[in-house]
Amino acid sequence: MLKYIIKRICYALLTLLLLIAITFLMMHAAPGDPFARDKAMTPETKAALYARYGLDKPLWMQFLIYVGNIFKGDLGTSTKYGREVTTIIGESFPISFELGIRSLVISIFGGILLGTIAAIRRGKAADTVAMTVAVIGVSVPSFIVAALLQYFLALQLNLKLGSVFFPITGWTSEMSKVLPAFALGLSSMATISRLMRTSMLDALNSDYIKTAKAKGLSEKRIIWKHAVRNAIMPVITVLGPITASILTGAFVVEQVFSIPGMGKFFVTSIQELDYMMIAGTTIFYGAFLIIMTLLVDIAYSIVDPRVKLANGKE
Amino acid sequence: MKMNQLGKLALSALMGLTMLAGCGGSDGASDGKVIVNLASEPPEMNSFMNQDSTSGNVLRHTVEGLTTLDSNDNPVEGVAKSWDISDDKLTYTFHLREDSVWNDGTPVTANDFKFAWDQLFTTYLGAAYGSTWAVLIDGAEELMAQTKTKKDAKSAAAKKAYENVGYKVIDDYTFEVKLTGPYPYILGTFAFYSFAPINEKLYNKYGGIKHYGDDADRMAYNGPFVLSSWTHEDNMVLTKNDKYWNKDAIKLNEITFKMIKDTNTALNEFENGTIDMIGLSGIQASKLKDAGKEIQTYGDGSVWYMEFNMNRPGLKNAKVRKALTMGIDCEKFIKTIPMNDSQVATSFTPPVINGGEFTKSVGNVWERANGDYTNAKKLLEEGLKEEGIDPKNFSIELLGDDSDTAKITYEFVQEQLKTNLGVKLEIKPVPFKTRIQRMNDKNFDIVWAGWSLDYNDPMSYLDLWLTGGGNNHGGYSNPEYDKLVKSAYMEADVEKRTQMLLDAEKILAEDCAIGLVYWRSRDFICSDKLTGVQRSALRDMDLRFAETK
Amino acid sequence: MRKKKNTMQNVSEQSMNEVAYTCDEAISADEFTWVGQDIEKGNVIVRESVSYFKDALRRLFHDKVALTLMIILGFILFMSILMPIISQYSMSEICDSRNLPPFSDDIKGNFHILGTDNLGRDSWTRLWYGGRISLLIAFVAVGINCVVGIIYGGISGYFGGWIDNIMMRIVEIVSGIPYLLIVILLMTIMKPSISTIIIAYALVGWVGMARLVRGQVMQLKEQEFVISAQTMGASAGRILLRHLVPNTLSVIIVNLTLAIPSAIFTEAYLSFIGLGVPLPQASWGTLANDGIINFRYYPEQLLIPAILISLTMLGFNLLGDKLRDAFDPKLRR
Repeated sequence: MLKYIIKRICYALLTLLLLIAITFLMMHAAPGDPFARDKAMTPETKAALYARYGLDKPLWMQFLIYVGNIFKGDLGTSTKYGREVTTIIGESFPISFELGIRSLVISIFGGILLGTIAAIRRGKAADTVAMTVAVIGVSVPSFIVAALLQYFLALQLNLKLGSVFFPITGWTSEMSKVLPAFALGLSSMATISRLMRTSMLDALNSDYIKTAKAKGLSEKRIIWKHAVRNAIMPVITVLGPITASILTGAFVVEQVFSIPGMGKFFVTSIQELDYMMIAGTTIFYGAFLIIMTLLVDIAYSIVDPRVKLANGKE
Repeated sequence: MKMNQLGKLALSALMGLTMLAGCGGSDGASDGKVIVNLASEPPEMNSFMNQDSTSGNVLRHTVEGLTTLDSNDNPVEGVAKSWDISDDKLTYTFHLREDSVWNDGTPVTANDFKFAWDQLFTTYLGAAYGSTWAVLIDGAEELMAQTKTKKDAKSAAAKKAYENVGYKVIDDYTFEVKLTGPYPYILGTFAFYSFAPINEKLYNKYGGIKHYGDDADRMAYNGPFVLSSWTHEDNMVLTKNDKYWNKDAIKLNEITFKMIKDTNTALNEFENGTIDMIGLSGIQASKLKDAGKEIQTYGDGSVWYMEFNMNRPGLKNAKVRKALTMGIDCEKFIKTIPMNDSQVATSFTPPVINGGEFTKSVGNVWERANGDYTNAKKLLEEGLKEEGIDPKNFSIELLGDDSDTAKITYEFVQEQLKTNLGVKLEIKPVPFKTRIQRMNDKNFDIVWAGWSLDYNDPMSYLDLWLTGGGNNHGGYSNPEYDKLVKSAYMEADVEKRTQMLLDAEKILAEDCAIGLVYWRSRDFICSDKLTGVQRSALRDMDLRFAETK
Repeated sequence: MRKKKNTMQNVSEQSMNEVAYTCDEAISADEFTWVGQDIEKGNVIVRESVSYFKDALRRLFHDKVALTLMIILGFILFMSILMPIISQYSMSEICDSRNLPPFSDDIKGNFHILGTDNLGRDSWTRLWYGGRISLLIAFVAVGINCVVGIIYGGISGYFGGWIDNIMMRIVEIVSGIPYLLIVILLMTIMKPSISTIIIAYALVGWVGMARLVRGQVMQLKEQEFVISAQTMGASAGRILLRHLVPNTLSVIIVNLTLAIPSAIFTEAYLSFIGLGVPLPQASWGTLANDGIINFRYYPEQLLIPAILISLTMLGFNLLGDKLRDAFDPKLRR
């Protein structure tokens, strides 16, 4: 196992390098330049700025310098803010991370619970309600959910109460974190509950559950010990992409609730063609994605011992 | 173990849901503390490097130049308590006050101005406004030419240029500036943040070009407020500067700038009572007005138009351009899109310049259809015939930004041209940087664009359309226009100068160099607590005269 | 020993007699006659042989809920196709009354079922126009993603080893590249149109499905039925398509139904940055996007497209469940 993990980490570094190389090429191919603005700039000024940020060198050289600097823990300087990318990410990532963890917890626990209940009560009212909630959760994107939550649960409630219950914006008090986490987690929760219901139904129909029933195990034990453990596989699979989408999807929720997180940089860095910021966020996001996939693969073999990782098919 | 921690987090999230927090709004009586919406993070707080109005809004409160603008946008004493102007209006001698100090107690001297201006005109540092202002000051263009790289800037020629440049330290409290022409607007221009002083020692102490202005504790302040904390992407807190020479005139004790981008969120905050001033979208303003709220409006100095690419078939014909301009019902446009006090433009220079006098003397030189499009249609037909284009095949593309309001604007224009003229307009919304690139590459038919002033003079608008100008993306060229604008540059006689610019405006309208549409106004609302906020084209957000009730 | 056997015999004889006795009481053997043996009739199949697909459809059509949903979806589809043709308004026509509430007349006295939007265009017409585009994109884009994802994930999961390793690293790279960057580059070479949207979505949309299928296949391929198929000499392709994919269908269908709203809103996003449907065309996604700006004043402009998206999704999801029940070999009776 350890050998496998080390091998995977080596692959991960290689993947990351390739990812950053491709992104590097692509961002420089994108039309426009980081310093373009409404009012024209003289070529001399532009050249000066290019030189200042090291963008005057050939692309391959910029890439090598960049990769070399990564190992020194330097991700370059943002052309938009003139501040170091590591500083900006260092300020904003913890906030996005906390927001992400909160919504992940809501979506995983909520999703598994809803999905399991729906599967057990298949065809009953509880099933229909749970699945309708889930479907609406998937159909209505987070920017709408966030705006509605803010308007009704924060503003209107506050006006009714005459005091601030849920703050409209910010990321300071515990209360200010509730609505954003929920808005961000809702669609993932819905996804998980849908998947959970389906695979739970599969699991409940399988022979080992029948055996367990025949053995006279209690219903509760059968469901939570046997069925859920087996049904959770597809959920684990989507956890990788879901975490990723929560991380990047944070953009709209962070904007609506005016949270100083990292989500916005995924979008604005590209709009601004803030090269170092694009590369920095991509590396960060890529690393995150790769680690998540690795964890998911490891989780596979833990949850289902039949899955072999290291060698695949013999 | 892991499960346990996750469980704890889940629990805390649930706790959050059920917990009752009792934090109230900021409704203390007249504590001089206000919260206003700045909308976004100021990207550059280093005054000479800045080019952005958001940062400008903060800098207006934290640094002060030779002059400063009063409530009517007129230049009044700032760090300079008085000045002498030579008879030819080319040399200004500023006498600095001795009680203007940086927030650490260091006095603000003429050297600080010399240092800041040197940075501004040192090309390799990359100040975007350097080239804009260099034309005004004697020797500044030469300085910029000699400092294109770091190496050049250390050469003997550069050293000479630094010495010979038109601004000079006479003594610690006397600063002399030589201009290239008798510019009537120059005193107001010196209030602009580009010309704000910077103390060399403090500048280097705080990290120089790389880091000056990065954080609250990485810059020096000589203005009415000091930046006491800066939570990036979230808020900035400005507190009153006790060392400011004119501190008695400042009534606010603390300004918190919030960076709320989403206008609906901002309105929610406002109605929640947790913010004192926000900008409003057109629909928000009109709805609040209907609800009996007091909305404030200001012309933000931007003029909006369609820029025609003169090299595209059909569009090089003035008749076609005129027809397309007339094809838009501008009255209806304003009712539909900005929905506020924005005005149909009657000249390229908007009325925010010189109190509207210039605009008034130009009068209404742009021909509008006023509901009858037969003339416009005829013009279009004629024009296309002259160009040998079959009207049926005439189809053009409108390039524009990809923002929400922009999109609906284009849709409106598209439908107007279709119904009024029968012209097929395709819309190409692109990201901002792509739009600029395509404009620079002259890769467009028509682009929806806006322009806003740098200084309080029609010239800030009219020199845009000089042949070969950097912002003249459509390639408009009229020798007569060039001659008028260029001679107005050097004209010391105010009346003659104004006449030249008036004539230039007329040529612009005759040629229909652009499809002029409207002058934009913007709305904002203040809470009952906050009064005296001033917003104008030159001072986008000014709370120096504000107070709380 | 012998004695014991005798007693055994006795007991059984006795009970046999008892049984015979009770039988005699009910039916006598005389009541039966020998009718002979019809060999031909024995070979006739009375119950129709049901193929996998037919069986699934049969079960689907017998389900009332599924039928209702299909009718609703059919209605939405029908309206999306028909309304733009028969509507008295064009999609871009502007009347002078902006933001009219539903069921009202404009200045000229023309009736608007859902009122007008912020430019004064008929919302009802735009809604169904939007339906056309959204549904088309949802189906085509998701269909392509599904096929690519299943094949890719199937191969990766089934073969494992270095193939899996390389294929999954590619997935990581594809999903790691910022999407907006891809779109901006696409914009430089493509014109906004429906096929452009489909391409833009298909470029990265398949990775989620590929991951999911791979995970399922990895889990399934060690199971007995696959091993037995292998020992019987089935080719990899056959095992994948015939044995593994049908067994992952339930998860695939769920993921498919989840992918549709994401496709609808990706389209809205693409339209927003200028790669989507050319203006002034609308889709449900862009209608909802526009609606959110003014939802505080004109909630209907947000709610109506959102409800239609949700309704369609509800239909697809529940139908997906039914489909899954119908198609899942494990549930086949």
